[in-house]
Parts: sequence; structure tokens; C-alpha cells
Amino acid sequence: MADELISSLRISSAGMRAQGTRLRVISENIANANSLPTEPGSDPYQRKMVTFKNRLDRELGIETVRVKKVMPDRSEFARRFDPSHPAADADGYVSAPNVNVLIEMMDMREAQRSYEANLTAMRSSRSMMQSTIRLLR
Amino acid sequence: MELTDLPVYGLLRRRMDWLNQRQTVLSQNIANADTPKYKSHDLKKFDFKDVIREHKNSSKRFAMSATNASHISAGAASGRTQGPFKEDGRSRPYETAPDGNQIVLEEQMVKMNETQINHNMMTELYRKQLRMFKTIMRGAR
Repeated sequence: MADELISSLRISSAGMRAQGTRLRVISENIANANSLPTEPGSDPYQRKMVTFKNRLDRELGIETVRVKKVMPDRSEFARRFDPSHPAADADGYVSAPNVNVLIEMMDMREAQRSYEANLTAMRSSRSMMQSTIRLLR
Repeated sequence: MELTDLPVYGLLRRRMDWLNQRQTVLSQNIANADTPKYKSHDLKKFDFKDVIREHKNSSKRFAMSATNASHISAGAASGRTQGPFKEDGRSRPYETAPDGNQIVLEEQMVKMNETQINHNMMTELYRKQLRMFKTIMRGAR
């Protein structure tokens, strides 16, 4: 039945949407990799993380994926020596965001790979549908 | 006699149903490639022998019958996979990630390609059968 194939298209699109959200969060992290605080004692930008969860779509009766939560990374902030900075503490250190650009890049590649896999799945479902329809000719 | 009631068409249609359902299951796996603790799913292998056996014993089979429109069909309530085909309970993933996710994209891609090629084969067979009927009809003119 084409019904099954249509629901598989929807599942793939849900996967792509989730990976899209993940990419958005990653770019937020990279863009804010140097967002330092403006006054002593305040926190810099805190890295965000995305978690996924499997969810039953009751309308369609299928299990899709969606972003569960975007939560802050609780790891410690980096410390940078910069006595001239307005947010520097008594010892001359400024706390810097806990963003590691290399990790973000790797995460981005992974998101891209998953996105492409979903796209391929979508293409394959579509070609199956088309070959069924072509029977009519 | 309806043309589409022939056993060949019935078999092809059933096989295509199976392939469609498998495609849905595999799409689910791929969409959940980064979901922690997600187990990979697959359908039980499709066996023509089973279908034929089922076909022969169809009158003796014990199945719940829906005598009222509001009855819930037995298949719909049973959980994970929808559709008439059963899920293969034993999942043998290539590997499990530290977060408990069992999806290996390459494995899923292989399965999906397999499904697609089989589906192509089924539609081609279907077309071939139709063409044979057309040839016969043309001969009668």
C-alpha cells in the first residue's frame, strides 16, 4: 500500500527536521565561541546540546523522532588570561565559553551524515512509489 | 474471473505490501540514528512458502473477526509495527553505540537498497504478467 510509503516519507522528514534543529544549535555554539562576559563574576555563553527522542505520532500511528530538549552543557568554563579585559577577575582571568570548535565541527558532520541518510531514505521511498504508479502506464 | 484475483497477482501484491512495510520500518531506524537507547527493528523474513501455506489453510485459520465497525483489529493493538507483517524480535545489530543506540547507517542503507531492488523486481514482474495477458488478447483479434 502506498500508505506505508507515505508514512515512511513522513518519518524521514521528521528525522530531517530533528537534524536541522541540531544544526541550528551547533551554529549557535560556534557563533558564540568567543562570547565573553562583560563584567567580573558573570558567566560567558554556555554551550547547548540537543537530545533526541523517539515519539509515537498518534495521528499517523507511526513512530517518528523529534528533539527532546535543548539543554545547556554543564561542563566547566574555560579560563583565559587577559588582565585588560573588563570582565577579568582579581587574578586577571576571564571565564570563556565551554565551546570546543573541533567538537562542534565533528557534531556538525554527524548531523549532516544523518540528514543525508534520511534524504536517501526519502528518495528510495519515492522511487518505490513511482515504480508502483508506473504500473498504470 | 477478475484478473487481479489470480494467485500470481496475490503473491506479488503481498510481497509488495511486505516491502512497503519494511521500508517504513527502515525509515524509522534511519530517522532515529541518533536517538539514545533506540533498538533497531526489522521485519521477519518474507517466505513464499508461508504465504502459500496460509493460502491453503485460510479456511481453518483462527482469527478474531471484526463483526462490528467499532471493533479494534487485533493487529492494530499489538504495538510497534503496523500492518499485517510481524516484526523480527531478534535484533542483531552490527554494533551498539555507548549510548545504547543500535543503528548503523550503513547497515540500514544496505537493507533499504535491498528493499528497493526487490520492489523494482516485483513491479517488473507485475508488468510482465500484464504484458502477457495483453499479448494473448491481441492474438484473439
